Order: sequence, then structure tokens, then C-alpha cells
Amino acid sequence: MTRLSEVVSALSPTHYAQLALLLFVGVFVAVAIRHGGKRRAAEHAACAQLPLADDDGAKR
Amino acid sequence: MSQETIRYDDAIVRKFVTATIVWGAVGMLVGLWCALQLALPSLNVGPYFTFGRLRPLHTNAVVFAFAGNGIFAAVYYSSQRLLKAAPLPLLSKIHFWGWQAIILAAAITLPLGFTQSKEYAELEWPVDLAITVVWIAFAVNFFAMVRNRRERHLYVALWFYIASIITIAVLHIFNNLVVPAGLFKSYSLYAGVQDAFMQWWYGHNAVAFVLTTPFLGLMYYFLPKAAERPVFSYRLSILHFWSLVFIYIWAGPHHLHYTALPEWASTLGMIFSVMLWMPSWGGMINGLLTLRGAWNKVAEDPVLKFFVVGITFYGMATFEGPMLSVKSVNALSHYTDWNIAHVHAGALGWVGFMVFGMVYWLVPRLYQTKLYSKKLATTHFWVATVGIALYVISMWAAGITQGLMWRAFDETGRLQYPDFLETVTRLIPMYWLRALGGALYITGLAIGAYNIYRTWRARPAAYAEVEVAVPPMVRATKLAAKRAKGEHWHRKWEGLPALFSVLTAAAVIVASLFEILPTFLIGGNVPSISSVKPYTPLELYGRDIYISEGCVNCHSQMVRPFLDETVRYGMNGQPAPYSQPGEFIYDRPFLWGSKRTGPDLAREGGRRDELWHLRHLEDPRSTSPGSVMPSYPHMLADDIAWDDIQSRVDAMAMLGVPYGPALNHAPEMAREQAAALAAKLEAAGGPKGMANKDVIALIAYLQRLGVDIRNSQGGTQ
Repeated sequence: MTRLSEVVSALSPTHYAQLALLLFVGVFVAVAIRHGGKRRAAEHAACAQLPLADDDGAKR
Repeated sequence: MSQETIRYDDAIVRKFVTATIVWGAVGMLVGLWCALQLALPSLNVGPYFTFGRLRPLHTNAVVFAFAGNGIFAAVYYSSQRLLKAAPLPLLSKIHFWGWQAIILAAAITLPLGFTQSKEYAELEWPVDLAITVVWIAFAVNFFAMVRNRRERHLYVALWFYIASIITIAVLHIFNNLVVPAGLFKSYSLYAGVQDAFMQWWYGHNAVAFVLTTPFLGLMYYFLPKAAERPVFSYRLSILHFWSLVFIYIWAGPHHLHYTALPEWASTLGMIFSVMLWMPSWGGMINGLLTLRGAWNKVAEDPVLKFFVVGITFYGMATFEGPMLSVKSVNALSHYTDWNIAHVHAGALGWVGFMVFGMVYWLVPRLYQTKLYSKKLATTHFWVATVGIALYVISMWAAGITQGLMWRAFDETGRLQYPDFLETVTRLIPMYWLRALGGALYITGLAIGAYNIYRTWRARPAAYAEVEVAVPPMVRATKLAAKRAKGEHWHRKWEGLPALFSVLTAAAVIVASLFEILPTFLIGGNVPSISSVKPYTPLELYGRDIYISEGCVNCHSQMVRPFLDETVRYGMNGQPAPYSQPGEFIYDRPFLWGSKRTGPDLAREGGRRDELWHLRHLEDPRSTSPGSVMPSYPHMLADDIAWDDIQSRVDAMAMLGVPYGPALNHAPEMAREQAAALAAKLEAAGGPKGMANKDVIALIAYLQRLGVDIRNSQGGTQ
């Protein structure tokens, strides 16, 4: 059976760095696409108001 | 149908605010004491209140007690309101009192010398277990609020809280894996290079997920409240969050540039550190632009003053951090006071000012009265700002001065400042200036504490309960909808906290594994050196004294591959070999250090005789005039705990250290070595009767440092 250390050793450290960078770029692009469009502008505007509305109707 | 109402639990927030101020004062006063000890070594009161023992107390108190309690106050106040859900009272109590008990345990055990020696993770294993239990209570309490929430959307501040709660748990558990060798003594599961890597994976991310992400959550909630404006860009806050969480976790190795850490890991840490600049400044810009159209309020409102300067310090510190992670800059800055300046710009400017801004905003609401004095709050702000400026500027100057002095060669090619002490005494005026800056900052805190106390005095006889009308629970809505017609869009919202938590954990764990797995599993990272042998039982005991006294706070054990370092730490006119990964395979924990107030000790063995070490430990100024090191006369009086030695050797053996005969005869072997060393001392004119004393064990350890690597080179150094 192949050991994990053999699998890890098969890649050079440079590969890890490159994979990491690709992973980050992928996540960044996905988040940017998901939240970047105008479609979500109204939702974001509503969310931004949450801290300002959170004591609405509070009675002491 | 009557609408449901809930009551916010502000009592728990009041408790955490009080604890923040009280522990803040304690932690900062200990910090001031440490600062003064470096200028005036007579302020070291041995054996319990020396710099080496107090410095971890200062950092732990400020990070986990001041900032920690401040974070909890922010989380409990804002989460209840953002989620429209109250915490569970019993868990809140366990969380509050458990956390204060842990801080008290730290305040007792650290001066007693019980320490794992890893920065910000010094507390020994019983306290670590208590931290785990209390953290779980906090997490359960927080996620119970999320589960019972009545607001569909999770505001971005909550995302930062979730990331902090999950990541701190992961970091705490994996960096504190140890084998106990007694009630308050343990050895790290990792050795040398791997231990160093794990520590700075933890250490850097403690900065990230204790001192950054929760405070960003705080910023995204309290700044809009104070400015009475929504955050400038909610979209930017989302990008800020994911970029920060994803990138931060990789950056730890920049604390280990030019050490024995494999270069690929160090480079990877540097690249991600530079990348961190983007999300950090995105967050800073988002914070500052939230005040668009409201800048006139800053002039009048001390809360906004604290927030604006706090966020500006966030921007400065997150510019400086990536800059210091660039290897060529790090070569100059590392081990110097420049790092101290950087840390304090973040801690005093960003963390401190965000806490104070929040507290001044909260206090009138929590105590249901007006703030006692806006003028005093403004005075607090200005006094503390001047204090930070003095602190940071003096430490920048000290750091750059010391870094340049270490590497200076004269025209004949010799070190211009061969005596390390010269590079320390040159900094004393700057240490006084730093102490003045710190004193001003604490004066500001005292003014703030008085202002809060007077506000509290004006509270009503009984606090009015804060009750709000709320919609039904999100999960109840979801169930009803599901019953009606299968899946509903609410399911998406219901699933979000779990999804968030999973994605955050995945970002942290995947990133960590990318660095951890190769570091641990590629054999070539730590080539073995045949001459490197385990410490003898006496040396191991001496090493434990070194750990207990916190020597690592001032002495590194890492000769970097720079000409000035190999020359400075060489012997008999020959340069020292720079430190190599294979040297440290028996070092649990690693003791590479992060600051050189004293010289590096990696090649100390054999450079001086035993009597010099004894005199130096008894009174450093007798051998090194001008030294700022504490005196350790108690080491000449305290007896070696022979009975403890076997259990320590056994614990190391359990971790794979090949101890051979020492497994059954450790105390005898230690006594034999101690007797030989004591005889050598006596023969050199030293005091009699040292064979049973702690000082012998420590000298044995110091005389061993670097000897194995010298042997590997045929003793030709």
C-alpha cells in the first residue's frame, strides 16, 4: 500500500505553492462572481442595514 | 396573534466589559514593568518576577485577558442583536467565570515558571485543557444563538466571529499536543523544525484569529452603529472575509526566515503574507469609508476618534507586516525591537483603540445612563495616542539600530561591534522612551477606567430589561414551510451557518495541510546528523530550567546563514556553522526564540568555562558590565529535584528519543555528571557544594549547546 509520505514526497514543494495559489484564485474568483453582480445589490444593501436596525422596537 | 418577544442578556456583556478593563490594567502594568526591567535590571525581583517569567504573563494577559474579554463583550452584545436570540445563561456563566479562572491560573503559574515556552501558548497542559472546555462552552453558546436566531441573514460580523471560534479551536488543540511529564511539566509532541513550524502556524494565526478577525467583526458592527451609517460596501466586506480567512493561515512561516526551516515553506509564507496586504487594506478602506459624510462627527465623538485611529493602525500594521515578511527586510528586522514596534502598533493602536471605542459606545447603553465625561474620554484618546507614538517610534529606532549594529563590519573586515553588549546598551535611552510611551497609554486607560466607574455609579437602581419583539425562529419557519410544500428557500438560509462553518474550517484546514504535510512527511526537510545525540538527563533537566526561567524570551538559538552571525558566534577565530535542521531533532520544545535582547546561544557550549557561567548567572553584571539580564542567585541555592529526572527522561523516551541506559538510571547518571562538573568548578576556584544545585544542571545544558554540530565537523571550529 502506498504511504502518505510517498504521495507527499512525489510532489516538489513548488507544486504545493502553485496548487495553493490556484486554490486561492479559484476561491477568490468564485466569491467575486457570486457577490459581484448587480443582482445581489439589493440584498447587500439590506444586509448592510442590519446593525442599524437591530434595536428597533426595543423596550426598556 | 401576539408577537413573540425576547430579552437580551446585557448582564453578561457588563461582566465582560468590566473584566476587559481590569485585566487590561493588569496586563499593561506588567508590560510596563517588563519595559522598565530592560532599562533598569534591578527591577527584576527573583525568582518569580524576572523578565523571562513576566514577559509571557504580559503577553497572555493582554492577548487573552484584555483582548479576549473585549472580544467576548463584543460577541455577546452584537450577536444577540444581529441574530435576535439570547445566549444560554448557564453557558454564559461557565464561559465568563471559566475564562477568568484560566486568566488567574496563568497569572499564578507563569511567575512560578510553569511554561511550555511557546509564545502565546505558554500555559501548561492542565490550563490548556481548561481552555478547551471553556472554549467549547463559548462555541456551544454562540452556535445555540445562531440556531435559535430569528434573523434570516447572518451579518458579516458574525462570519468573522464564526471563523475565529473555529480556527482558534483548531490552532489551540494542534499546537498544544504534548506528553505530560508531571502536573505542570510536559514535552511537545513535535520536535525541532516541526515544532517551530507548528508554533508559528499557531502564533501567527493567534494574531490573525484572536487579534484581527474578531476585531473586524467588532468593526463591522460597532462602527456603523457609532457612525449611524451602514458599512461602505457590504460586497467588499464579503471579499475581505474570504480573502483574509483563506490567506492568513498560510503566512506563519515568515516568522522563521533564514532559520533551519526548509526554504520552500519560508518562501510560501512570505508570498501569502504579501498577498495579505490586499484584503487587509480592503477592510481598512471599507472601515474608513463607512464614515463618508460623517467626518464632522469624528471631531466631536471620542468613540469615532478611537475607531478611526484604530482602523488607521490596522492599515499601518498590515502594511508593515507584509513588508517585514519580505526576506531581505526580515534579515534586518528579525530578533530586533522592530518586531516589538510592529506588534504594539497592532496591539495598542488597532486592538486597544477598537476595544476602547466599543467600550465607550457600550457603557452608556449597558449602564443605562449618560457617559460621565466626554471630555475625559477625549483626554484618554489623546494621551493614549501620544503614548503609542512614543512607544512605536522608539522601538523602530531601537530595532533598526540594533539590526544595523549586528551586521556592521569595519574597514578591516572585522565586526564593528563584536561585543554583543554594546548593541544592547546603545538601546537603553530608547527603552526609557518606550517605557514613557507605555506609561502614557496606561495613564489613558486609568482615565478611561475612572470615567467608566463614574458612569457606573450613575446607573439606575435596577437595570431595565431590554426586550424586543421578534419574528419566529428561522428554523421553525423552515420546518413549517417544509411541511407545507417540501423544500423551501428558507432551507438555504437555515443551512448557511453550517455551510459557513464547514467552508471556513475547510479553508483553514486545507491551507494548513498544504504546509504541514510536506514539512512533516518529506524526509529531506530534516536531514539527520550522526553526531547529534539526545541531551543527558542532567542537560535535559538544565534545559527545563532554561525553559522555566523564560531565557528564550531574550536568547535565540539559531545562527542564521549570514556572515555577521557565523563570525559573531564562532570560536577560536573560526566562524560558527549556521544552524541546520538536523541539530534540533531532540529539541522538545524548540527554543529558537524570536528576540535577541541577549546574544544567540546556539553555539555557546565551550565558549566560556563553567565558573564564568556560574558567576554570570549569579550576577550578570559581575562578568558583563552593563548587562540587563536578571540575576539568578536562587539557582545557586535551589536543589535539583533528582526524583523528577526519571519521569522527564521517560516522557522524552515515549516521544521516541533513544535514551538507552538512561531509561532506568537517569538520576544516577545525572548525579555523576553533576559531581564531575562541580569538581571542575571547585578546581577553577568556584564555590563548593554545587553538585546538588540547579545552576549545575543549567551550566551542563549551556555547555552542551552547539557541541554536537562542532563534533560533526571534526572539532575544527
